[in-house]
Amino acid sequence: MRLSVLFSGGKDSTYALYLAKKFNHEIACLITMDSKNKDSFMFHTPIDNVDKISRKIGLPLIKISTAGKKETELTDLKKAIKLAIKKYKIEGIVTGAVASTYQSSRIQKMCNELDLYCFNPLWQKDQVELLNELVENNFKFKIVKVAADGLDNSWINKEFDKRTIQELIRLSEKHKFSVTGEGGEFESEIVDCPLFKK
Amino acid sequence: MILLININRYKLHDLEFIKPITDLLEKYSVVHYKNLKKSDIDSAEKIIIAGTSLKDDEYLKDLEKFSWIKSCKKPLLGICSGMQILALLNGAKLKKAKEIGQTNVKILKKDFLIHNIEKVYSLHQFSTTLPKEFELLVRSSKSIQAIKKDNHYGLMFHPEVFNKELIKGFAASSCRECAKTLKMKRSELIQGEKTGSIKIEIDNLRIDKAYLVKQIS
Repeated sequence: MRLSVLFSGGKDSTYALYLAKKFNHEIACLITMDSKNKDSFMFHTPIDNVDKISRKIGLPLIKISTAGKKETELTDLKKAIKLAIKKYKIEGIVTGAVASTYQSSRIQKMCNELDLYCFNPLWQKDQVELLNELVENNFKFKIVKVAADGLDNSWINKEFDKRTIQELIRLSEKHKFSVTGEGGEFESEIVDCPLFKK
Repeated sequence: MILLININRYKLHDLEFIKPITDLLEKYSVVHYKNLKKSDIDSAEKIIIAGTSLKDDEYLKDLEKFSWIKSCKKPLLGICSGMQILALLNGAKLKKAKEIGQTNVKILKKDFLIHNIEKVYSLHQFSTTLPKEFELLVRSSKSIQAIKKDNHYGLMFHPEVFNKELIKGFAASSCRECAKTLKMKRSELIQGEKTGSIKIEIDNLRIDKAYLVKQIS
């Protein structure tokens, strides 16, 4: 099936893309929302390197700017998906949603309105299992933004490995935040992964 | 051993609709309905039919492959599309009722398995009418959300998202484990029995009532 991935250049959407390809789907393009609202519940910020990452992966990128206001950001996303349907004849969308029913139910509704399949290959996945799987599958990623008690600026630009994950788990248990950062506790960026063209 | 029946058209959906359930089970086997053999059913203690994506309705064209359900005496839990299959085989019809995301529900009849839920995660375009001889346990403003006949349950919502304890409770192999999973208090159970608000289907869930009352606190 021809699919498009809602892509931020972070670990979750990149891993969702990897899984969709592993299951033999054709990825026609990536879609990124460039949100001007740093506190958007829907979209990952910052996305400074998303163009560079998409070039490394070798997939076309549809990047649409949005003010990131709750009332209009979904309309802007819908425009981007409609563009992907028109330009690349996609039949479905892939997301990196793990536990956020706020994000996933909105995208499910949008796919339903546009008659598209919706794939969420990380849905309900155990958060520690997800981090370990990323490392085991040679995904290198770093934190680019922190916004949680217990995570100070020393975490920025820190690359993940088994030791870092253990430290993050310890802090997430102590300070009660999502260890995958899905609630915006931190944002990640892919540094290297098996999808990058060598 | 729990038999988990997969109805997904696309394998990528297995990560979304099968894995979250197997993560909650200890002993299980997963079989796609198209490959299901009589021996799979015979060797299972309990059966779960998982749901699938909003756009996937291939299973509706293959309802005859589920005709064994009508004579199946084993505990069975149909989730979303699985409830549609269970209801349709028992004479119900699909009913348009789009619900996506968090949904508030009301318990109409308390049951041993379902007795304290308020919010559920829905992902369906169609619910069903109430099949004959089924009890309506739970409903939302738009649709019937949980039904039951003997030891066959249908849940229109996805318990693997907000109500994981229902899957663990259904799968529990002992009464102690089940009661603990459901966080049922001794007082609740005894009061429920007295008032009849909790109809204890002990045998259907392989649970010994006396043992249960004695054990839980």
